[in-house]
Amino acid sequence: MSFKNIFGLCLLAATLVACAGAKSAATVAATPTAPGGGDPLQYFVGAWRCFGGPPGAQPNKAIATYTLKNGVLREQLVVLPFPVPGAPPEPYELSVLTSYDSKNHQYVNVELDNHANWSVTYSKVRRMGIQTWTDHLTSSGKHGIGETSRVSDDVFVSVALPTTNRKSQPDFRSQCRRWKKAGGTGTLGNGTVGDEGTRTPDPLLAKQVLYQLSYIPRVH
Amino acid sequence: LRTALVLMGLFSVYVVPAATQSASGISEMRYYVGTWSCRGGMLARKPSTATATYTIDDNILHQWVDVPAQGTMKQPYVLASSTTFDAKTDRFVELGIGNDGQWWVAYAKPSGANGEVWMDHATASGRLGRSQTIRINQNTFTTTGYPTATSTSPSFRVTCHR
Repeated sequence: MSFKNIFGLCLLAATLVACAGAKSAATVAATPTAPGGGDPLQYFVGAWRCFGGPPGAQPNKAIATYTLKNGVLREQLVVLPFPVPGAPPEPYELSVLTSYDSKNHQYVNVELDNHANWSVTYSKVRRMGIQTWTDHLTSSGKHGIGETSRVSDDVFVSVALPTTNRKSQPDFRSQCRRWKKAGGTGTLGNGTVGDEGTRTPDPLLAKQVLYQLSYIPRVH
Repeated sequence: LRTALVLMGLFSVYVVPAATQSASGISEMRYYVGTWSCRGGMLARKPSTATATYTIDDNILHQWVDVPAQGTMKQPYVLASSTTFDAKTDRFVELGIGNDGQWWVAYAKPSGANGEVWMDHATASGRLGRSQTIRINQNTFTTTGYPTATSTSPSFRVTCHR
């Protein structure tokens, strides 16, 4: 439906010289190989329970679901604000698409939320389990840095800086734990649940469970 | 991937005036929801085929286009995008990326049930084009692409059937 809809067909068309903004399909290359083989983005595939927020604030809860196909990682992150009595909770959703630009040896991340905030972000290949993302273009015009660290196979944490000055104080921290239990039994965000059962990559189920969890009273 | 920033985005939601948060315009895009078989490509070249899938969740239209390896292609091409309606500026915004890392940001004004005209705002290559999508009927749409914002000579065309 959009320009780029055909942009893809344009690329495939042969040979590929350009349609607007396009480059040769010959440059469509594989992502870097993970130490154990395969696509390093595979780490994220599945569903994660996340919590986080600005320092000192009550953390928000979210469910992030990742799928990976032919080199494009898709993340859907769904957050339901704590419901206001008498008003339906308005879900917050953010869609994140990630792939690897082999020409420039960097990952590219495009994000769009359902309030029309967006960003384009780059990251060089990660080192020591840490991946640093730098804003290239944003809807707000403000550029910051995000750092994601893989603590283990089942936990990663993120820190955000409000500017590209690495000495600035983080204004956001979050932690995501791999969700291994469909229809999990614990509360979200205490960092101790979801350690048993089978993994679920089902975003619809994730949203349903998140919706239910949103009604669990907060502990103040 | 950048969940920290993601949730920071959520935080910003709370400080946006409620009047600016409507995203009802995305309902115009419900036409596309489903799976489409597409055929087309660069004009004057042999057309190629692709499958496009659209879903809508929480006011975001998700597009996923699979182009199987064909012709001289050595591997499949995938393109994905997200679209929502920005009530503050009264326009749709779309961000997309291919599996080669090429990305774009494009805008389109609401135009009712007939289709959209997308103007590139920024792309990985720096080249800015435009495209026009026309809904021919409930089951067919076409998209025509132009290499620049003002060009009258199309560079590619694709037709999709539900």
